[in-house]
Amino acid sequence: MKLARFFFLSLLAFLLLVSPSGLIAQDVPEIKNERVFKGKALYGFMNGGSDLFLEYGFEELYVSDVKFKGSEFAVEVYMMPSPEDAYGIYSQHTFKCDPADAGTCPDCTSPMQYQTALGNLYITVVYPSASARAAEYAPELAGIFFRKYGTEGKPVIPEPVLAGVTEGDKITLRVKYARGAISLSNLNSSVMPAVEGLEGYSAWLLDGGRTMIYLDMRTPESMSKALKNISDAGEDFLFSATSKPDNILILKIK
Amino acid sequence: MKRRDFFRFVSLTGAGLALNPVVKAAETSPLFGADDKPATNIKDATAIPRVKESMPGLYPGRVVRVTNPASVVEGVPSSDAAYSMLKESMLKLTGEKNLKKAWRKFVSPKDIVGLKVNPVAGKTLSTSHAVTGAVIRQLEEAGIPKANIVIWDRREMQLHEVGYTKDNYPGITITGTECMDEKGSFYNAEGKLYSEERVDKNQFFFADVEGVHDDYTIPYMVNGGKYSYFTKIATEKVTKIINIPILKNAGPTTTLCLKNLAFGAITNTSRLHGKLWHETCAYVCAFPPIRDKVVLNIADGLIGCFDGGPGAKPQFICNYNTLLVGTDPVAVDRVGHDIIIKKRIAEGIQKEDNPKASRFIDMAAELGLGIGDRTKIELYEIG
Repeated sequence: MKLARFFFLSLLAFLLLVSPSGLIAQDVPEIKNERVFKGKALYGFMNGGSDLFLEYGFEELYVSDVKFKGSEFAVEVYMMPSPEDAYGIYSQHTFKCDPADAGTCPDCTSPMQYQTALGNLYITVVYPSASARAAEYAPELAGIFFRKYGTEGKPVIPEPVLAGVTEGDKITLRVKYARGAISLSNLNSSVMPAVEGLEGYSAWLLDGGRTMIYLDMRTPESMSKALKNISDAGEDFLFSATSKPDNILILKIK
Repeated sequence: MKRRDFFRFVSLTGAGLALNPVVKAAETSPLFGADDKPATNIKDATAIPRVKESMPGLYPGRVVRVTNPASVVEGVPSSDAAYSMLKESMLKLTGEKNLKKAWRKFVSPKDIVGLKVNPVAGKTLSTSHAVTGAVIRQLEEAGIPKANIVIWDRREMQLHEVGYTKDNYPGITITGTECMDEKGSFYNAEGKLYSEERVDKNQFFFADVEGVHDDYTIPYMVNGGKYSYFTKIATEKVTKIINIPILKNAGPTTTLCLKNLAFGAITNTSRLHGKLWHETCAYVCAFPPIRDKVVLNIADGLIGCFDGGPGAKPQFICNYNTLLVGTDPVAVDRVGHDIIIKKRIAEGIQKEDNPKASRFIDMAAELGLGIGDRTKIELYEIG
């Protein structure tokens, strides 16, 4: 009996020594090759793809290869200036991404990738194969990174947009947020004549703009120019526009 | 404005909406370019006489497309399939029956052959090792020594990250313009960027747009200002270039042969993404280090993407199972562009092709770098 116990303890000690990541640290992500890109240094990571992120005011990116619960992941953590911008850049990447939105933050899954936004962070977790196990662990891993970098706050969505969202809707599917020409044209190019030659605006889109676009022009000058643009476009402009206080334009398809 | 805790909603209607995704209208985009164009030095390039090897090379307007549904196995490009597809392409392109003879039309054992790959999108969407490996095997079989083969891109670090390393490619030079030392520093003991030694300040693309870069960005741009210098890899190190881009989109347009060469061979590029994206793709390829050295274009479409590019967004990655081969980068880009746009339309990302999305192809054709007119392209399809 003593001999058996001795062998068991020896075997356990051996396994702990030779396989620390497999037995002890299985639930602790093993982070390798972490790289940081700040501001326009994002061009060093993704070249032309940077323009979209920079339009949202991108601040920092942490990229790392991670081993977690026996699977390999590539994790990208994007720090944005605000929860709106984090949600905005997330909303640019949700095409054909199956949303859950069941937890405390919007999230969605597509083959080989899990995406989510919380506070001012947008996180993507990529796994190299369409492994069901890796897919299951990806949200947990994202949660670990949210805690690692710390984040808080939720996007403030304007009431007219929220009014169109009903109980049971998945916000990932219905609401998108743009912060300039690249992001807005990605989401709905038909609205671009209204903002031609303008900068500094933002837009909330309900159902990709089919139901409503809430356009915040920010300044009276931009508001006047946008109204002139719409007037100049005439019947070719697909939307009817209603002016609201604080330089807001509500656009709805005619 | 009010805040609402909307993320705890339990979905009842979401599934229906998921089946009816919003069509992304791609008819208007800043990537189509602006009307007010900054001045460039493109006239300096066109003033330099062309040589026998200048673009579009031996077979203007000719493109071979080989498709093999078995070229990607469980998400991994097959080396054997890539080898066969490349072999078929080379024989069809050249009309030769002997593979060695086909390759020797473009390169000789005296050449230093640079393989311009694309590692920008990381492991998931870089020039595949299957295709690069097939090119290397066939070059060796044609008598090109390994020591004369160089795998290059602007960023040496990214090459290493995606597996272009000395261990994986013994005997072959792996190099980039922008680089780090073993400690991860971009700077030498004198505080100078290592990459500065790797650019040729006598050969440049000028554009009247100022590149202003902070300390974090400068290692990836090498220099600021209005000049983009060519890498010495293209101007000095290699005598021939084989261009191996990926079949992928860049927003509403596509990034294949011309983009891979142009943005991969010069410094200070971020300033060129806005108003001059199309011009840069075409104009930089009109300068001698590129125009006179690129002998072959092999667009790797075994795995590619139709949206989310030039980065890798997994939901948009697909198996085109295709290789496009030609000496004419403009014609290859036109064929590749049409493949990607067709896929984007099929996936509901856009409704139709917008001619503005391929202005760079038209510009390159006007510069005499190849044939962009679909009716004049000689497309051979195999498989």
